[in-house]
Amino acid sequence: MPGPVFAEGDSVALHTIEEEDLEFLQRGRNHPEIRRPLTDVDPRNGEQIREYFENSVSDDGDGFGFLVCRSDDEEPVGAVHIPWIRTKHGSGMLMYWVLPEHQGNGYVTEATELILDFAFEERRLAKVYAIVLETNVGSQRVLEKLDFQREGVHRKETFVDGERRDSYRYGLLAEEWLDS
Amino acid sequence: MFADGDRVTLRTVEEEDLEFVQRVRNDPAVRQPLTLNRPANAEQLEEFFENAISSGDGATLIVCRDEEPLGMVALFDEDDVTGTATIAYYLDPDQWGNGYATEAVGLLCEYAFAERRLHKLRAEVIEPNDGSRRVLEKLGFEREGRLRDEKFVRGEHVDIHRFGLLADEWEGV
Repeated sequence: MPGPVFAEGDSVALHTIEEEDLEFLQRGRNHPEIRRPLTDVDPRNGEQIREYFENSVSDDGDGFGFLVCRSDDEEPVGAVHIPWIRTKHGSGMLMYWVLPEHQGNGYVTEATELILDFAFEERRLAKVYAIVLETNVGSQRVLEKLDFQREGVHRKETFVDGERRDSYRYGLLAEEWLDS
Repeated sequence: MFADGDRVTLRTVEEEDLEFVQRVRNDPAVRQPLTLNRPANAEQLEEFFENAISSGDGATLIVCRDEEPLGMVALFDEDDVTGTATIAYYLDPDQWGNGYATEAVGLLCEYAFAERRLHKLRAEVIEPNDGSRRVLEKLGFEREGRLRDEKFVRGEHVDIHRFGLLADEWEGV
């Protein structure tokens, strides 16, 4: 049983991240199809995931993150985070992932909508941005559907699958989200 | 130097300033209107320096003319989500009546709105404290309410006035 619902969509809901979810989160973070697009190279063992839980999820910091669960059966499918926020500037970085077997159902788009509502309407963020690999077309489509603008290219910024790759930076302003 | 005005500047508070700060904040003319109703010894000032001034929350700055410290301004109880914070200020009584407080608090307001992305500043003034109240009114603060018999000053219960200034009302320095 995941933690309580924090924000409810049509097909998915955001839940608080609980200790019992760490095994699921660990599975996601180590899965090659998830960690590669996130450019997360290092293996994450149980202890590291627990540290992340203690220091990043359960602290009083400004960042926030949620477990994404399918609404029908509360099956966890992924996670969505805005882990880094520069509160004085009001800008935060968005990250998300959904397990490969649950991709293609629009879960990421809906979960991201829910976290953007929270970020802009309840936390007074002024801007949310995301960094996406040039090869990760699915993720770019999610951001473009949500009216993120592509703001620039980070040339050959990362090393993925044996090659240097560009990343794109996407950004969305509060007024663009709240007016739409 | 942290912020520069015509006649005064705001700069960071250093350990060497604590003697000045201690002298001024124990002065009855300063501590009574601020309702700082406890003696503050050097050790307590040191603690205040470590835990409040150097904590990274809010902002506390020394008001100077040339190199000479005149007083202090502070912004605290800051809430990044609502975009609100409270301000307080005091000057060495020897420096009163020159408009230094208005200029220094104006610099603090400019910093709060232009750099810290704040939406509203709050301040509280006891009744009567005409000097302090005038500083706020000159800067465009609105009086928002009166808290009856909220403080105890010089042997009697006194009201405090609550003032507020919104970012879009701020006209700049």
